[in-house]
Amino acid sequence: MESPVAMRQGTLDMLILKSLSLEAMHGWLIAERIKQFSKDALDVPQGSLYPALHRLEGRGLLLAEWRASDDNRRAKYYKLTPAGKKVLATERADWERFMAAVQLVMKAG
Amino acid sequence: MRLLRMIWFRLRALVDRDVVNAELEDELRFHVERETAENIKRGLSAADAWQRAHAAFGGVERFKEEVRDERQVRWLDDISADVKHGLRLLNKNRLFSAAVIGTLALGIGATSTIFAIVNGVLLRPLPYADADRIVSLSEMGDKVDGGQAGQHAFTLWQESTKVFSSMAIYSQSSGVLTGQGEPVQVSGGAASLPFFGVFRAQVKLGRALASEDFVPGAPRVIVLSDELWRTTFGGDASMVNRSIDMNGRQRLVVGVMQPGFDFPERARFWVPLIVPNSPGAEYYFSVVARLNDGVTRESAAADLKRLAPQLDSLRAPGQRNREAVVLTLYERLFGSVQKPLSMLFGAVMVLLLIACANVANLTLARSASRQREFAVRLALGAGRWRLIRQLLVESALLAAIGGALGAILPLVLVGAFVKLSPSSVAGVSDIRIDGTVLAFTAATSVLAALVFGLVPALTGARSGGAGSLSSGGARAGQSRAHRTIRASLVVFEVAAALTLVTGATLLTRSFARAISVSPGFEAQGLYAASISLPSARYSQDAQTVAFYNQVAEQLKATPGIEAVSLSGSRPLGGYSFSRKMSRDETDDAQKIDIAYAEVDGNYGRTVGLRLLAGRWLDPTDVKGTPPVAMITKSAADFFFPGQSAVGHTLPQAKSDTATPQTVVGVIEDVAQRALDMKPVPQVFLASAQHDDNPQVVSIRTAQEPSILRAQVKKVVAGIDPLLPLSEFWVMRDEVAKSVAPRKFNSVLINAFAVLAFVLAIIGLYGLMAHSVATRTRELGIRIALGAQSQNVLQLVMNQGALLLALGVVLGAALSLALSRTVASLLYDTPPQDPLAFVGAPLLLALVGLVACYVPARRATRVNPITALRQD
Repeated sequence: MESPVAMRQGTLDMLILKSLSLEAMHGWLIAERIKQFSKDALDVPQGSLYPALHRLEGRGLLLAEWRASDDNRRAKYYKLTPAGKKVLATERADWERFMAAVQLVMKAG
Repeated sequence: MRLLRMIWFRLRALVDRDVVNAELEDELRFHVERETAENIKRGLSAADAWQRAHAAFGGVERFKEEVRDERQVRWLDDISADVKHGLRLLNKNRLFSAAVIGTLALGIGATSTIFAIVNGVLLRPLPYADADRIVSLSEMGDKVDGGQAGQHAFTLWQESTKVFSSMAIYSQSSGVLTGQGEPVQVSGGAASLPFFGVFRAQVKLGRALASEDFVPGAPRVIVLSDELWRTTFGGDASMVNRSIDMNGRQRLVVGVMQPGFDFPERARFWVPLIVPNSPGAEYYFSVVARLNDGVTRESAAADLKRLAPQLDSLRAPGQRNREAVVLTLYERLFGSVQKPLSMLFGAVMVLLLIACANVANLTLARSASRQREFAVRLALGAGRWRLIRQLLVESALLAAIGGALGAILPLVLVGAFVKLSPSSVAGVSDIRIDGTVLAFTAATSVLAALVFGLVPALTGARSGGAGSLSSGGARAGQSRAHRTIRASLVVFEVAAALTLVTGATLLTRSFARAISVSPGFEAQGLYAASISLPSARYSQDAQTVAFYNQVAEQLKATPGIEAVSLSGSRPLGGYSFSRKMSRDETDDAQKIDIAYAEVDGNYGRTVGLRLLAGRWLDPTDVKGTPPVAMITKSAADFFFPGQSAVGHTLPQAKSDTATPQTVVGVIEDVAQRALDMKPVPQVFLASAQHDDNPQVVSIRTAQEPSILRAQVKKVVAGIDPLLPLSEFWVMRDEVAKSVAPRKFNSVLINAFAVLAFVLAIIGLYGLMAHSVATRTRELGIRIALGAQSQNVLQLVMNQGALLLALGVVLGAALSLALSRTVASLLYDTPPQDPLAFVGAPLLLALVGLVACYVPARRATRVNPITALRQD
């Protein structure tokens, strides 16, 4: 197994928003989901996950609520706010342009 | 929505802190437990699973901190810790805290008190629309601005200038209202059109004055003020178009003005001002106007100046060459108090600065002895900013407590000041403690905290390097920068205090000079009364004379009354009539104003004039006997310089055909307006030889004023029940009132000067005591090496004397520079008065040396053994 890729803060924010774009989730599940989607390539440093969640909540991009988890325990679920959806859309677009640009450079020559 | 969420997020973190923290714990615990459960599923033992989960998560506590930081409330926790720490320190150093808080409370309180007065009197805008565009016009001749302009000037200005959008004349008036219970005297105004227009004042009911009210033969009308309408007429809307009885005549009420409009000077009614049509005579009125857009006061004055030659051509030679004066209405009303109040405000700000300097010195001294604490904290990794903040929080705490206590001072003092302040000060009744004053107090406290807190904070955090940790705290504390700052603060304090003391001495000397001026009459036991007689029922001079004679006769017969006199004016009541006179009428250039008054034969004895030569006018000077006069010393000196005036004949105006008067007596000058205003030379004529009506009854008695007042009232009511007693003067109070503004300024600035003096001396003493305390080791070494106590004393004294000398020289220079600005506030005292400029510095220097001597004495008693054993 390759060692997990280091992640920048902005990237983590975007990944959190993307994971939450389908359904509301609690922190553990978000980390798990990112790991799954990236086929274990991305391991969210859990210590930065919660500060990031609270930061996004503070910016009004996420809405938090307490509800029962699938194993019937009280957990804090996060979901996207309309503002969060908008930010995700722009970040995704920015990311794709950035990636395309990097690809062009890397493949050039 | 998003913004609301963001605010809610932070607000909750602040308010619901415990709940938010508990939720955070829950959230993180859930994560660890979930991870543990997952690990168990992967086949680990329970213990291993839990450990792995924790390891993966890292230090839970650190993350909590990070999450809390995301909520951006960390600084609040820090500040509250600083505050707690600060409060503990303040409580530990009670003496220090009390000294600082007390000093600040005094400084801030005194400043707020004066601000409350300045705010009430000077800073409150006049209650008229665009009040800064309203100007008061007058004519100034012989450098005296009487505040009025002649009829010719007014008419010409109105016709020939375009700088004013509206202009009106007015004069103060008063009337006796009857038919509403007891007759009452109310003040009002007589005004031309468009008087209300100039102020943009609106009527509340009915109409304002209109042009139809000014045509000859028009019905007499009156406009009531809202206040008069509400109090005397019970706010009855049907008052409009009803007649009221004023001065014995019916007047039709045509309207009620908007609430709050009471110009001029608490006017309760307005009547049309109809200028008498008498060719040759020129009447004088007050003039108000509204400047046109884009016109300044200066350009308006220039425009009026342009008309001066035209104006002179309308007037007789003696009436020419007057200068038109344009003042804003504000300047006209408050000009006389602006300067003294600004001076007081300046003085109190200086006092505040001295207080701040003192507190800064105290905190500096203390932060010096706290070097070790700072060094330790820096070494343990505290940021410099954190230390600065700690010190600032401590200063802010001190300033907050001092400011809160200081806010109480105006509450107590403003009432006393209003009582003490001269009633002539317009707006004195508007002085109150309001939001503006409290805001000022708060701002002053914040500023004070910054002023006295920043210097120690910056130097404290800077000099608290590692060096202070190793060496003895006390010695290391006295860094060079520290010493320089503290010494400069003390020099500043001494200089500033000296400036205040010098200023206070000047004003006190003026006040002493003013009250020592002889009023020229015996105020103790002297009273005066005036009754205004409605012209409707007292149209003939004989009626007026008969009325006053009756009053005088009946009062004379009243037991306890020693003497009664009737006259045309009273001392300190101004003079009703003056004439430009010269020694001999050929010399126009030598003309000066001479005041005339007609008095009866009992005046001298009743009023208690001071006879210098000859005799008083007496009851034998009646019609048919040779006309006589009694003149004041200044009149005698003018008319008959270098010789006795008695027996000489007074010069007369050419037009006067009557027999000239012979001077029978010379009296001391009688104060006409105020003790500190030089009286105009005055000539007293025997009223029995002339035909003028009496205006004032003077009474001498040993009785209580209240009893006398009741007696006079009874006598007046007995003769004519429809007359109110218009005025009643206790002459002793009138004398005091005439110097009240001076007393007010003098008392206040003395209080400030004493405070400043004490603070500066405390500052000096504190510095010297602290310096001796920190030099104990050095002094011990000197003594051990054989220094005599004489040498040690000198060493310390030299240091103090140098600071003192610097402060005194600087202060004297500052006072000298400022003395010119207070010159106009002085009476009979040169701005470079020797007592102020020699006495004040000497006193300060002497007391200052004593303040240095005490710690210096202590220095000589330093025991070398104990001193060297320190640390």
